[in-house]
Amino acid sequence: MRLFAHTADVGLDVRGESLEELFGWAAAGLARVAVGRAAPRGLERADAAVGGPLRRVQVSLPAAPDIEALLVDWLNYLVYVLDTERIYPVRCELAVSGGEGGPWTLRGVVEGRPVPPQGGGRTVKAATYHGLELARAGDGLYRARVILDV
Amino acid sequence: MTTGGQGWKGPIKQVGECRWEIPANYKSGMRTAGRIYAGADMLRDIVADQAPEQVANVACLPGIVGLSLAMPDIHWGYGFPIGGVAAFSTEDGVISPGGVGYDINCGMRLLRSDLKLDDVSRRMGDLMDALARNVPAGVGSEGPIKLSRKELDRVLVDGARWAVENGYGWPEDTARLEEGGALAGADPEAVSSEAKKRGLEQLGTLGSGNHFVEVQVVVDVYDPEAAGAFGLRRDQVVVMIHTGSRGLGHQVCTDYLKVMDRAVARFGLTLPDRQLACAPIRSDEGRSYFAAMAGAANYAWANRTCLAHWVREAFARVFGRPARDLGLATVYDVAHNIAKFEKHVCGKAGEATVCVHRKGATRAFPAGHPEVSEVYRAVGQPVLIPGNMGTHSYVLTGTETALAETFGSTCHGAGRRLSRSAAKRQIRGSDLRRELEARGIAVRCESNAGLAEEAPAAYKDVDAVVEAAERAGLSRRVVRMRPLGVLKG
Repeated sequence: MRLFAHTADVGLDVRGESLEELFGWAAAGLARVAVGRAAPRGLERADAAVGGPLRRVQVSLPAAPDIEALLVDWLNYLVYVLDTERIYPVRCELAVSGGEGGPWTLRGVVEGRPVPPQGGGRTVKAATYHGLELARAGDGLYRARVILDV
Repeated sequence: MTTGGQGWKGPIKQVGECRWEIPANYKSGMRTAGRIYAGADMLRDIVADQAPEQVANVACLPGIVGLSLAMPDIHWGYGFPIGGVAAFSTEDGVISPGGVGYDINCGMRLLRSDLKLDDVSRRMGDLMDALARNVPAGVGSEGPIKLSRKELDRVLVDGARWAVENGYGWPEDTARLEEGGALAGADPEAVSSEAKKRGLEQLGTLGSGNHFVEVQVVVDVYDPEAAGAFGLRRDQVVVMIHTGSRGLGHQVCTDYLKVMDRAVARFGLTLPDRQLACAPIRSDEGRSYFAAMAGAANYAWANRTCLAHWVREAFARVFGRPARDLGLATVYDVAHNIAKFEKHVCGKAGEATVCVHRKGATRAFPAGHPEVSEVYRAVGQPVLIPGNMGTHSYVLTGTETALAETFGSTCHGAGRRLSRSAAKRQIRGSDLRRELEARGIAVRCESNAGLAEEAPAAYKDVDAVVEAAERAGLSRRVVRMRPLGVLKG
């Protein structure tokens, strides 16, 4: 996961061996922007010891017409959870399903940790469709780029 | 890290003083030309990224009336450029959430006072501490106001009036706000439950990013008559507030971009950028978006009214006198991210109602315009232009030229030049804090990183932006202010 700059905003550049892993890395990238260095650079392993209590949130997103839109919906769902529950994602167990021509759905569980009151993060207004890319590269890895409005 | 920007290589030619045109035949799909208002010296920064392409993209939207416009503070946004202005026909035009932005009715409020520089200069530390205590600020900030769902619905409809009726403002404030602080046509039913949940605890909060409360002193008066009408004079202490509709507005934009993204094909629209998702103004989707956006705009006016109240309380505490005795009256309040139905003379078609999108642009109506608050009608609408930390801010007034050419619009601020990460690479927040303090500007900001992201060097020169807008005839300078203390979210 890598962050890239955009004049007014910040972009996420993420890769994954599966769509689930890609969406997990995107969640980790969002957490990094929203919480700052307090957030890990990637998601934590499900069997890793965690510091402090984790909150679990069940997720089931409405069908999206294509996989790129599902990624934006996923990040915007997490923005909503960040703003209302004040937690950021540290673990995800996701199932992404769909196919050529859509629709695409996402179901699963997100585990989050409370946003530290004085983190170095910033308010993420939303994930945008601007410059949105998601494709499978020649090496079989999925790669996505998405710009966050901050 | 990489930079996201690559230079724009399209055609652009000068067509007048501070006027640059992107021809309508630049790319297929353009229905009109693009026009950027800027000084020749500013153009290099403007074409350094893809903002001009976004001007051309907006020119592709159905029902656009006149040109796709950009103000001198134009910079690369998503979908529409920041600094973009476009009007659409109510017959066959579209409305686009991306043409307003996520922070619906992000805007400025200016309070004046009877205090002079000498009255506050030795009290700035106390004053900034009092402001920092009284104004909830920062990422995820929540305020002391906890709304019920029913009360929130009233805020969405009544805007600043709700705040005044509930003791968070003065009755005379609302006559000095754009739209009287309540845009007609809001419908709480059009605002999602998720957006409402985000709005319940954030009223009266500043937020983070580029939002601020700044104590300033008037240092230059360019137009004594207009300054007098606005109650402004040299050496006077004023307070500028910059914030918007918080999470509620962000969610309204997210919700309707999704609705419209999924409706674009059904409406037979082909868009050059998915972020330009839009719907016909007359469609159910278009009407619902406007009703929700108006609600979020009203939330923002209520929000800035509550913030002004916290500012008045802080001044009263520090100076030991009621805010009224300190003369902390509202000068004006402007939106710079909004879509509104306004009457304009549209070429040969004559006067028509059009839907004007201003994204990072300010309404700038001239003297005599019926929409200008009666108290200012003789001199024109005040336009509030924030600089950035350590630089000047301005009060301008609208002009007939703006009304004729830009649907009565001018710039909204300095405009970003460096990305946030580039700013942080070049500037250390702790150094900047020391530098500002050494120049006599008291800074209250929890995060040094946040401070660096909003550093003056990250922005264009606000003096040049305001001067270009004046040379283009879009607005006239009335007064200039210098910062004394800044509270950043």
